[in-house]
Amino acid sequence: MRFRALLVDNAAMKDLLSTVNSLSKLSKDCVMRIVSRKVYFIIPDEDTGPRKPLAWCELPVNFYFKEFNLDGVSQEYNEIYLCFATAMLAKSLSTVKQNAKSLKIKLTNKQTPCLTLEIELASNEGLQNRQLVHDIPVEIIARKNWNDFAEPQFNDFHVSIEMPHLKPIKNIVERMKNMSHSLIVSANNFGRLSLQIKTNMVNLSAHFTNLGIQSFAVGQDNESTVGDGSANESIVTATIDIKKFLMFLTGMQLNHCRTTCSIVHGKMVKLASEQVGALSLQCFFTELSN
Amino acid sequence: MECIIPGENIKVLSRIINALSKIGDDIYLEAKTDCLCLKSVNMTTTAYCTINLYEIFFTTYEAGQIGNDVLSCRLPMKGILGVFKSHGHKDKKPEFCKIVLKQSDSKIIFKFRYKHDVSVVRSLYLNDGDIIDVVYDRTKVVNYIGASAEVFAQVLMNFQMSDEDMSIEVTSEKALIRNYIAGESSISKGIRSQISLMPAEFSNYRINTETNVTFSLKGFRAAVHFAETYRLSLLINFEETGRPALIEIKNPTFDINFIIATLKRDNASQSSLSSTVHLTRKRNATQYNFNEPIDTEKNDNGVGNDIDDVVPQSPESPRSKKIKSIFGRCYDATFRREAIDLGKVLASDSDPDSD
Repeated sequence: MRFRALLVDNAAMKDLLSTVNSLSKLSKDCVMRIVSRKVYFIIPDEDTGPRKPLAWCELPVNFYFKEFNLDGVSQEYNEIYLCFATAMLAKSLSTVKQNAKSLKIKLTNKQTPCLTLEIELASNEGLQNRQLVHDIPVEIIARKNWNDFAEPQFNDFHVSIEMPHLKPIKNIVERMKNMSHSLIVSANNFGRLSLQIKTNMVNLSAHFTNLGIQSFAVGQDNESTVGDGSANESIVTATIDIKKFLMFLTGMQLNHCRTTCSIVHGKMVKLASEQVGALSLQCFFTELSN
Repeated sequence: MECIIPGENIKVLSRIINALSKIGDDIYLEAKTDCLCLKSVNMTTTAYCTINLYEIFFTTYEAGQIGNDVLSCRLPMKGILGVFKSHGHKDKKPEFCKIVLKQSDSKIIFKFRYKHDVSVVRSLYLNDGDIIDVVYDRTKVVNYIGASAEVFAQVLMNFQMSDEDMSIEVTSEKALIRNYIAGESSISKGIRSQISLMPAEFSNYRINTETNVTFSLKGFRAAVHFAETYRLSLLINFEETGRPALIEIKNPTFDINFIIATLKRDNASQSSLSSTVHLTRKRNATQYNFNEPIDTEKNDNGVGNDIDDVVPQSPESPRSKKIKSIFGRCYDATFRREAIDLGKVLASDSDPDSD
């Protein structure tokens, strides 16, 4: 197994840092899957029995890396799966905020398997460069466990709706979290997204209107059709864990990203942020069972 | 001893005391004729700091020396931190501070003077105990590297807050600074970092013997942090592995000498980052004591144990390693061969069993 990648563009390094920073807010550990065209960061959901990803992040190789060499486990499976503490990678990468000239990421074996980051910093005086090496201990995931981290495939969403700016949503959900632990996410076919909490004391909902609808499954047998004049309105809802939802909103401090929200009625919610050609991050929230 | 510290220097002194609080639990104060000397040593006598505040640091300074006896006392760290921490009215800075220490008195008096003739008097009872002094041979220093605190602060930024020790490996071409992880079990847990600096980055760089010294980050962080606030530079003097290092911070009005023990190891350089790794660390990791105790007066016949006589120990659980790093000295060998002179018979056996 061999892996070596080189970044020379400081902007790309900073993008990588901000992605890893976001991921480190979602979970303690993450799985890095390296294939010849893409690098994936997968965050497994700790709760569920059969491990299903909570977040799925894709980085295209040609956007970030100048050089990229990979020898996978075998010729048939030219991939590597690693597991490590996300915060460690975020902390080690944080130096690229300074004047980093190049960043090399390697898989090495130094007593334990390590992800080695070699950073070349331009010194303030511009005389000589500083060399910085960080070794992050990693765990190699065996071939037989790869299935735990397969990409979840969903294509039966009842609705996919564009999300408004995430910052105000975060502020609202933060307050909602203090009152309830479940959040009802719903969207209708007129481009309205609602976030709602219901408790014994209070019903609280926030509505965002005039959002772009990317797809809407028409004619589904939906019980919650509202009959107050607008007979054509149909609503898709799902109830999810508010803490996880907020975690995603906190972690998503990515610039230039478009976020969409997709809902399977009564089953799950998917949030997907995408910067075309550079990054895609998906988070999956399953329906709360109660 | 009686002295008056001007307003702007009170902040300096307060920062100095803060830095000292990272080292020991007591401050030793000595009123020498030309300077006021503050000292602190940590419990395991592996770090020792002296700070000389020269006469020009003060508005007035009188040592009040009687005969050859230097007026000295020992103050509890907590108490003195409290004296300087809050000046009561946060928005108003004290105009000056007067410190009075009388011979054979049981307390020291700090008088802070604010605007509008407001003054706050704080008195602090002294602790019992002898004054310590350190014996450090400057002439043996063969290597030194010096740079502005900013450079060192940038280096420290690359380490984690949980890192406890760092090591500097120097050659005449470059200096490698890395975090040092004690114990094998923790190697797979933490990030290992290494930064290599070219001599040009330093303001002073003289290496006569290539060596590798490892010392605690705690005190070093405090020193760098202090020096950074006043844009001073640090000079690290050292000899070789296991010999104490001296960190100097100089300013026209005061100087700081910080002596720190370095970890003694055998050839096993825990260079996680170099390709050759010796696996003889197991036995070594337990000897967390700094074998070279600083020669304090109290500590003349140091507890130095002889590593070579220790029988290699069986492998241990990581938990006991942690205990040992906390109660380091308890695990020192108590039997020392050199303490028992087997060569000379001082008195013959009074009841020999020889038949």
